[in-house]
Amino acid sequence: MNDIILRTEHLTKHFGALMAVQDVSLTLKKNLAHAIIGPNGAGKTTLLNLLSGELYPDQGTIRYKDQEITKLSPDQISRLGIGRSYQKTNIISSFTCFENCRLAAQSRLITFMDFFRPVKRLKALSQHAEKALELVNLSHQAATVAQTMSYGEQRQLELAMILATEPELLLLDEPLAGMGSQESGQIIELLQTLAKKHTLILVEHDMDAVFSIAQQLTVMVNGEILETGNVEQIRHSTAVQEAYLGHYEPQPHH
Amino acid sequence: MDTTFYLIQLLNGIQYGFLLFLVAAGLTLVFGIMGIINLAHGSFYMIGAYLAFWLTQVTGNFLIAIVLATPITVGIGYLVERITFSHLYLRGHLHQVLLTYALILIFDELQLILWGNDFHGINIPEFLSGSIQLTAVQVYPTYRLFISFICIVLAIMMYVMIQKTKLGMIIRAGASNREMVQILGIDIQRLFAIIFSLGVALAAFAGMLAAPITSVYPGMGENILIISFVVVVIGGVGSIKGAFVGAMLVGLVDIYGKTLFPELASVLVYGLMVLILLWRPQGLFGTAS
Amino acid sequence: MVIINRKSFFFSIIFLLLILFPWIIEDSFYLEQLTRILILGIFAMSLDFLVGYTGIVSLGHAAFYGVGAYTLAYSFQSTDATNFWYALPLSLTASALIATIIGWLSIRTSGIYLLMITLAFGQMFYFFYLESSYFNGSDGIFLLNKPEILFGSYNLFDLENEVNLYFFVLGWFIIVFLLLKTILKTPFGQVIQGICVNESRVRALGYPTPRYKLISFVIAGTLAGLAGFLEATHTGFVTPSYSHWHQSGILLVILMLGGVRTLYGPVLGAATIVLLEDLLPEITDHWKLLLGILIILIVLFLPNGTTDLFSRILFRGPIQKANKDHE
Repeated sequence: MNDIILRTEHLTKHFGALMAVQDVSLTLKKNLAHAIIGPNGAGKTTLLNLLSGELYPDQGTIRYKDQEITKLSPDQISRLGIGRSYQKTNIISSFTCFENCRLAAQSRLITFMDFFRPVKRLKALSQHAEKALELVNLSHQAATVAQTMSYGEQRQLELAMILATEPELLLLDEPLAGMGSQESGQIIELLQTLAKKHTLILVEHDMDAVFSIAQQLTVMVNGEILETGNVEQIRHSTAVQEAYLGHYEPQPHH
Repeated sequence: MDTTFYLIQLLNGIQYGFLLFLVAAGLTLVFGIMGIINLAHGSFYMIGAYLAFWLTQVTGNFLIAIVLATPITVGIGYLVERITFSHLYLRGHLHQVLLTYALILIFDELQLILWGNDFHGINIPEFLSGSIQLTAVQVYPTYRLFISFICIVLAIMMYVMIQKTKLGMIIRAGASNREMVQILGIDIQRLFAIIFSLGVALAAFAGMLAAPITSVYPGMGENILIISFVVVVIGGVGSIKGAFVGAMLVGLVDIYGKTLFPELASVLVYGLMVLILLWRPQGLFGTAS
Repeated sequence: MVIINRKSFFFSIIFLLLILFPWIIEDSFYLEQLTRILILGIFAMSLDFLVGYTGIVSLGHAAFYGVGAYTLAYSFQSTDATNFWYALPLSLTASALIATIIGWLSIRTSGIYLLMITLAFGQMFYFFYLESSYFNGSDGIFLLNKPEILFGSYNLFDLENEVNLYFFVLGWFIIVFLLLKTILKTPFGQVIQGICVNESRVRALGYPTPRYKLISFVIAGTLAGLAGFLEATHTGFVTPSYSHWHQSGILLVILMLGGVRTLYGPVLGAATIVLLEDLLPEITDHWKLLLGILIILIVLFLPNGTTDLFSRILFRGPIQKANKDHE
């Protein structure tokens, strides 16, 4: 029982008449990579927004470890150890890579508002930031202003920022989108490593990546969970084939 | 005696509220759909009043002056939008503030150059200048009722336009979701020019109507501008309904405040704003961002 | 080996010139103008902290300027004299308190809405001073004397002397400049600069951004109160116009002229405005018309402000910190 890290019950969110997320109940085990797949508009990003506090559900509850977090704000949720990356790259565009990661690390290492000590003198912060950049292979770009980097590198940076906050649970919204094949290869490797010590919730369209990272999959269609299971179960589920996978792997004899 | 006093204040409050509504409606539309903050909106109110004053002198008839002045103000609005605002839609609010602040300086100076520093009264046609007997001793000026009547007609016209016409549909879509308009593939340039000119004309028209009561004077646009901001804050950005309710609330609080608590009159309106913000930060009819 | 970079060398020269100014130019008119520029500079830097570094565009900053000034006037009420050590903390506390209340109500919103709310609050103070008989309405209040910087019963530094007053203001100017520079380099400063660019990201990193914004608002408001205190000391006159929204408007113009997010830019902007207000009236009575046209031209054609030009010339390149949204 103790290895359950996140549990949602009957999560529901409408936007006007649109049911973005409907009655979603999920149970997530610790240190497991869990992918959420489904066609565009299935409500995957909305679900992540509910989990990270960007949106509040109309109904239902979210529990993280032993605490209810349904109505907590994004900063409170982040502080509990839930890191979030976004579908659209979300970094401080005018900061350098290093400054981005330092800001992220600072949120964990300095718990009070410090008005007088120059941030440069805080060695621990720099070390954390450098370590995070190293993890995503961006050390050579530390002094580069984020907005001048390639899109793929910006995505890597965003991942580094989240890692600098040392989360236990990572919510990743299409981390591979827009990356070249070499970059995404590196990131997949990184995610595989991370998955050993972290819990991942991964929203991703690249099925090869999903199957190589995730142990458990949830298929969402029209805001509802169609099926949850391990990789093999999902691969062979006919309901999933019809509703979703069929779009990606059309099989001529059908 | 007492009840008629309150009744008269009620009528005054409603009439003031209607004028505020005309100014605030334009303001809230320009905010909501174009995402532009227009500090010069009050200047158009002033321009309307001065145009009415000047054309009344020229033509000798206030009503003819209004009929002539209205299209002129639409033209002014169109020109200002094309020359200045149209370059700023993608810029931040700071630039919009600065631009419109500069416009205020320019309009104020032009007003001084053209008409000088004096207060001017405007004569209204005979049939509007009388009073209506409310009770044996109390009378109420016909012109104020006339203003309210015209404003009601305008408000109904706006309502019909917004609810029933295609332009109205676009405005409604745009006010709640600006990106929607772009997705629908509507000519934004033209839409913005129309909305801005419409807003300018409404403010200017309110200035024309108010001119015979308040007289015409330098800086008259500023007071109305700030109060209209309060109206929009109370009603919620982009909501015509909010502008209407906000205008009525502010109009009544202002008029009753002035008679009941003269020391605090102007501050009361802001107090109302604070209360509503505490309750609903996005305004009465605003959508939370 | 110490390498002094171009920028700090340049700033040192400027500070040296400012210190020597009373002996270089012995003309009280110019000393007066420079005092004004420095006070306006403090006021403008405080707004730059809010607008340029935190990303909160406020149109009600003059409210705090007025609170600082009127609180000084209030501390005079009982006698003709007031003690600086009592008057200044009172002014700063009052401004900070008002900034906390207005800030708390305003920062729950953003964008246009926040602009309107701050504008409305500024005007609320203006009308309050204008209509209240306690503050002598539109006539304002004359301060017959300057605050006394007492040490025991001895006036340490007589502010009636205009050179002394100049140094007093210069001292505060340098303190505020260094204070803001320092804050920006600290962890707190990093967070607000992050908020300025991308608030939701900073929040998702675990920072309670509303609290940071509020504190930034209070810092800016308190320093604006300091500027108001100095201006009232300088002119010996407090009127409702301290809090009129045109004061906030012209301050944003100053920011724009000098270039937002530079701290020194707004000071140059303040100097430009003071000079223009001196020079333009000699050309025409309707100088505000020219000012208006000038602002429009700058907004349309020099969107990053004139500092961009200055810094390109002085430092041979764009402002180092690449805190710019568009390249």
